Parts: sequence; C-alpha cells; structure tokens
Amino acid sequence: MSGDGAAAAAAPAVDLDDVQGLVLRGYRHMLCARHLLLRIDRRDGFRALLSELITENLESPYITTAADWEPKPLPGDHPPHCVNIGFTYSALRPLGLPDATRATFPIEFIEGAVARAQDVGDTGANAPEHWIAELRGDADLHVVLSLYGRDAAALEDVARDVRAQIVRHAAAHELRALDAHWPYERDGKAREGVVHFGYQDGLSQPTLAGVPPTVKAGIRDPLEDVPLGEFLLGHPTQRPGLVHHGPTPPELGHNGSFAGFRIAEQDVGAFDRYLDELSDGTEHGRELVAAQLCGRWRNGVPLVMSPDSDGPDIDRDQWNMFDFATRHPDPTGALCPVGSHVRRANPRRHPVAGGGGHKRRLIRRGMPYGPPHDRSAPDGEERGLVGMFICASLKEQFEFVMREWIDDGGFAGLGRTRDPLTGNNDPPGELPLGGDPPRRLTGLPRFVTTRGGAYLFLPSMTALRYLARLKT
Amino acid sequence: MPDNASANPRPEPVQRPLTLVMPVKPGEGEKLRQKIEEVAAAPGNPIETALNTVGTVHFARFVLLENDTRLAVITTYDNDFDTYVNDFIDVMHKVFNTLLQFVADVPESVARDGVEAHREEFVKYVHAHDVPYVGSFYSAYPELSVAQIVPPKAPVLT
Repeated sequence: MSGDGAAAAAAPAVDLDDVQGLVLRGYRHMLCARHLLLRIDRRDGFRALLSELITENLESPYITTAADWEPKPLPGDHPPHCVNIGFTYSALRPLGLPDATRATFPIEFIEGAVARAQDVGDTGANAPEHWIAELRGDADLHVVLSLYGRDAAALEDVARDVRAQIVRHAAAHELRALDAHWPYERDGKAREGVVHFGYQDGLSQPTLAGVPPTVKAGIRDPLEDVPLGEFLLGHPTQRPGLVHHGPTPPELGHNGSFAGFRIAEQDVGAFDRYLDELSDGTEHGRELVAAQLCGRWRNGVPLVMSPDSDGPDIDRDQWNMFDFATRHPDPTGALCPVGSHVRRANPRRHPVAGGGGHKRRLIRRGMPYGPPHDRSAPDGEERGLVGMFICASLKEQFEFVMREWIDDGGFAGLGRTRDPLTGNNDPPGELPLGGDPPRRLTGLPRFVTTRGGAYLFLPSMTALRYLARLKT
Repeated sequence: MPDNASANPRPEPVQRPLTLVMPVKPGEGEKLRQKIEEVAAAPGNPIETALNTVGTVHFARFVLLENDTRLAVITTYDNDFDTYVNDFIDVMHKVFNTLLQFVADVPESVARDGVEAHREEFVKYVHAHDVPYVGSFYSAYPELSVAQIVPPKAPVLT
C-alpha cells in the first residue's frame, strides 16, 4: 500500500498492490511486447496457471502490479519484464463463473468488440470481417496475456517461461502471438514513443488523483486530476453520484478496469504521399500539414502553443499545458484545427456537445508493430499500432470517443467529418482549418485500418485470486 | 454542408423529440407550477445555464396538462438520448430532483438518493414515460445539430 502517511492528499490513495501495473504505469522502459491470444482449454489447468501467475516468486513470471518496483526483484532497478492479463466475456464460462455472475458485467462487454464494431466506426474496410481470424468472432479468444520486455532478449525469456507454464498445466491453446516494439533508432538506441507516422505518441495521459507521483507517467496537463473511478471500478467518477461498479461480487469488480484492445494498421506510404500532395513541396510545408492533421508537430510540440514552427525552445514538460480555453484559447481553431486528432481524442476545455470535453478520458497503452518505414524505399509491409484503451466504462469512454469524436464531427460543429489521422475516411474526408479566410485540407484517405479488436476485463489482483480459487 | 456530407449517412434527422409525461402527486399541481416558475426565475436561470452547457437541446419547455395532474417535459435534442444522458444528469440533477418531488411514480431509490445516484433507473423511467409521436417527426433542418447552429457555450466545470 502506497500513498498513506502525511503526504496523502484529499483523494483516497489507491491500493497499488491490487491493480495491474499496465493500468497505472506506462512501462516507459519496456521496448518490446508480445500479446499472447489464448483459448482456455482446461479449467483446472488454467486455474493452476493463474495461481502461479499471481504469486510473486523468483522462479517464474508473475503478474506485474502497480506497486513501486524497488523491493522486487532488483532494488532500485526496473524489472526486465512485465506481465499482465485480460479476459474477454467468452472466457468467463470456461473460467467457471456462474451465469448470474456473468450477467453482472456491463452489456457492452458482454456483447463484445465484434458485435459493437459499428459503435466505434469499425465499418467498411475496418469491419470485423476483415480482421485477423483470431479476433473475428470473439468466441474462441478468451485471454490476452501481455508480455513486455526491456529488450528483445528479456521478452524472449519471459515468453519462453510463460509458454512453458501454459504447456505444463495444459491450460490454454495459443491462438496467435502479436509482437510489438519501438521501431526507430537514433544513436543505436530505440526511440521510445515514436510511432510509424513519425509522431511522438502517448504524450497526453490523464493524471489520476490518489496515485503517487512515483507511478504517474506522462507530462502534466492543466486539467483537474481525474478521479480513480474513471479507470478503476468501484471508485467515484467525475460525475456526481456515479460509480462504475463493474461485476459483482465486489471482490471480482473492485479495482478492475476494462480495455478496448486494438490492432490498427497504419498506411505510412499513403500518409507520406498525402503530405507531398497537400504541402508546398518544402520540408516545412510537409511538417505543417502533418502538424495540422495531428494537432502536434511530429516532435510532440502542440500546434496551439507554437503555430509556426516545431517550437525548439518549448520544454517538454510544457507540452501538455494547454486546454484550448483558459490556457492557449483557440475557440475557432485558428491556431490548431478543431478537427485535428488531439482535439478530437481529448477536447479538453473546448466547449463541445454534452459539455464534457474533459470527461471522456482514456489511458492509452500502445506500441508499434512491423518494420520501420523508410520514406525513400516504400516496402508494402504491414505496420501499425497494437495496444489498449483503458477505462472504467467502455460505453461512456472508449465507445463514446470513437463514435462521437473520432468518427463524427457534430460534437464540435464540424458536420459529419472524421478524425483526419485515425478516422475511417472512406470516401475521402476533409479537415476544416481555422483562420480567415477559412481553408480546408481535402481528399483525406483512410490512413489507419482496424485489423482487430477485443473488449477485455483487466481484473484486480484480488479478482485474479478469486478466479483462481473458484470451485465450480 | 461539406462535400463529404454523404460520408457518414444517418437516415433520420440528427434531432430527436422527447415528450416526457409524468403523473403529478394528487393536489400538488399548483405547488409544482410555482416551483417551476421559481427555478426559472432564479438568478442565472439554472435550467438555461445547464442546457447551454450541454449544448444538444434545440427547444425545451415544461407544460402542465389535464388540470395540472400531469407534468410534461417537451424537448427536441440532438443524437441518441443515451449518448449525452450522463452529461445531462451532471448539470441538471438538482433541477430534476427538485421537480421529481412532485411526481407520483418516481422509483423509490431515485426519490431517496437523487437521479445522479441511480442514473440507470432514471433513464429507464424516462424511456418508460416518453410518449412516442404518431406518424412522422418533422424537421426543417434534419442535418443541423445545435453545435452547427450556435457554437457550444463554455462548459460549467463540475
């Protein structure tokens, strides 16, 4: 338990030992990941596997919690690897949860990502019929076991050990492994945070109340600290009187989370061609178009703070100090287009329909997959991002953001437009630019295509123990 | 409309009607009328402020029907009811709770703890008391949401 003692603020402290590490930590030092997609084969075997995975020990991998690293396993160091686990609704029966308990999960989780694809813009080329086979119908996917390594060797080590455990218990069948890694290097070192489109990603993450600074990742923003209940079940949310309890009994739901697991293919060739076509041909012109699409320059500097250049004199710790209203007001998008990616995914204090531009927060945990893109030698290889959008309510947070803000424009008076970077722009879309006279970027193709999705329950450690001890 | 207006076709108008008709507690009609007038006349009219913040309601009015025995809330708003219902409750729960004291069949939990604490029950209640229109729902501008007609007002931070 952290955060107790004199330093504890008004917000109740979270029990870090009870929360899976991935939810609260950005795993900043993990450079590669492997998501094992599993089907539970044998209930007893899987429970035995789960029992091992929830026991901290020196012999075999175990689930990483959000607790501080220091005591384990190497004082003051980061662990060589991390392990986290999520379940689909289809897993709950093979896990042995009775019908009455399964019925206490939220309807969107019960229905799953395939059934609700239309609710998040997964139509046309993004529709489930085009997804990878293992995610096309949720029925066989039960578990996503996510492994993270500080380097490739550490990832192989933990993957070998975990796979041996799975086989020893005859617990599950591995449907597929999805690998990811930070692909770009400078001075022989992986450039963590740079995605295939060339942007620094993952800069904006909510600051959670009650989580100690040693755990908090990301750069401070000027918004209020977000109550735990937006991301952990059973805690107060930003909304008066509202608690997302998740499933009952409380030992199953409390301190758990939900996640929208996504594989998003990125067409970097099309992106490069678009920058060429829409810019004046200069490098600055290309970078300006890239910045208008995203709302940040590719180095991460927000356009609203630095509309003319990528702001080499703005310190990194200032890169989130804007809200479009009181800090760096930009009501018409004259500095940063209202329809740009960062203003859709997180409108902050810009007035939007519903009045809740700061109330639909998501924790993003993504990592690129596929080989680095070389602009001078396009290769046709598949590449993209794989990861999770973590929240307490898939319906109120993940689905709302995808449907109302990414896949539509009515929330901000932008008509039926879509996110210029990640939206399902088929037929081609457009991005209204602010300023006088108003201009727009037109002919936007779809740069990102959904290759798969799953709705996951990320149980607390208490809930994992509960699941491992079920007798039914 | 932008050139790509057909990119995301929704077959119906973006606006939807709500005709919420609730039974008033016997003999409370006159007090309810006074309470509504009192709320509407309060400094900064909390109803107007809340609706401006949510920014999805075109028109809204209270009507007392059948000799003040029924309270009707008649509005035209954008999008699915459920999409912004939590944003609505966030800014309107005090007004709702005040008025629901005069309503006869409010679920016990909602009457006791307020709509904000039992949101799903309240939404169910609203759906059950929304009188559907007969025939068709007309809109002079089926494509236009409030946000496209007037810029959203600055949100009330809660």
